[in-house]
Amino acid sequence: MAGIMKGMVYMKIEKTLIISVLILILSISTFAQDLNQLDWLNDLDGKSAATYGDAVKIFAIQTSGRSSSFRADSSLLEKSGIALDGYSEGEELSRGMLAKMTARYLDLGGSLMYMVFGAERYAFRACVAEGIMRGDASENDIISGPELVEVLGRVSEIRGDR
Amino acid sequence: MKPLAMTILSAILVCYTVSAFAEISVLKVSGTAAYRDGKRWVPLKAGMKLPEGVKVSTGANSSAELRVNSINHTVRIKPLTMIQVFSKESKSTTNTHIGLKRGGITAKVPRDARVKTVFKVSTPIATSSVRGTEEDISYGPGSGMMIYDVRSLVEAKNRLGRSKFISGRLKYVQQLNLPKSFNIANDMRSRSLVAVYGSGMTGDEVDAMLYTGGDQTGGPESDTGILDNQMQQDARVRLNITWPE
Repeated sequence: MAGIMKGMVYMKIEKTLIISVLILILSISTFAQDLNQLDWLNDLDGKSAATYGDAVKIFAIQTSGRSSSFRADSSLLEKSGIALDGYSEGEELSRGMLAKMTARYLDLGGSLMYMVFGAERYAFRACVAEGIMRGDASENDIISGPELVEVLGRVSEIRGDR
Repeated sequence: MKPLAMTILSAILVCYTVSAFAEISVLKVSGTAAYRDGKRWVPLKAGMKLPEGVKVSTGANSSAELRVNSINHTVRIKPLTMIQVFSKESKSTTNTHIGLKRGGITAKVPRDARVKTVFKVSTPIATSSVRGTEEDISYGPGSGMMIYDVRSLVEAKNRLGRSKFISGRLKYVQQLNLPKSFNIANDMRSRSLVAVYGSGMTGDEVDAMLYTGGDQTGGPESDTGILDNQMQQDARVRLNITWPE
């Protein structure tokens, strides 16, 4: 009888240990994922041309706090209406593309033409009106990694102020 | 006095006057914020002490607040920002230098009359020296370096040594590859109903300016020297209101 009791106590301890280890592993992986974001941002900071994939990833982090694969992130952004149609992961990111994603995320209505047509060109103008982008550029310019980070920094600040 | 006694006395004096590294500590963290330790990132936690020259980075939707010395000079690090912090202090001086690689910060530098304070924020294109209590600074390749929401006074100096004093709603914008910053009153002008000019101008000068429809918030080349010298003084506003017939 005492042996059975002893065995039960050991099983309980074993169970508690397993649960604790699992919690520890989960929390470590959460930290690792967060810190990976910083390494990825550093890499992005050195890129002369950002891609649509980079924009999808940074918007996924901005909206949900994490990112995984391009496919999963795209599907997440599709649900919130931020994703763009017809672009592949490796396609170079233009200012107009980023402006459109930004305008959708922030629900910008600063430009009547953007509200009517929803085109990248007018999304860019709406972003200029909000002070998110500079007006002396073109919507066809390719965005660099540091510029993408800069725009998202401003987006993050505007979102935080609302 | 004997040489040995002189040496000891000098050493004591040097130890007393030379600034030591100030304590850099973490006040608040929200989201992903970490400091660089060798090749790895270490997550920031409230209460953590950081070493001199520490590099701190924040992720999307994240922020952190640091205290950079014992007299409560603080820096709020905005999302997607990377900074490096150097801070020294002695009983009578504090010397803080922040390198802003990207993103934005809000620096709060409360004054202590007994302590000589140097608080500089540098970006690759310009440096700000806080002479007041609070400022917002951001840097990025698109917009350049911006200094705004200043309480009291800030001096901004670009790489060519051209400096401007910023106060109140004035905004400093220095873009990459431009020799001069924009007119510091540009941002105010779009919200202004009246012409802005310094009270040191003669009546003829004011009339000429109003006749051409200009004021001292004009283009990037406009002279803001008179306004610069009148910061933190009372402004005199003359309003001529013409009612429609």
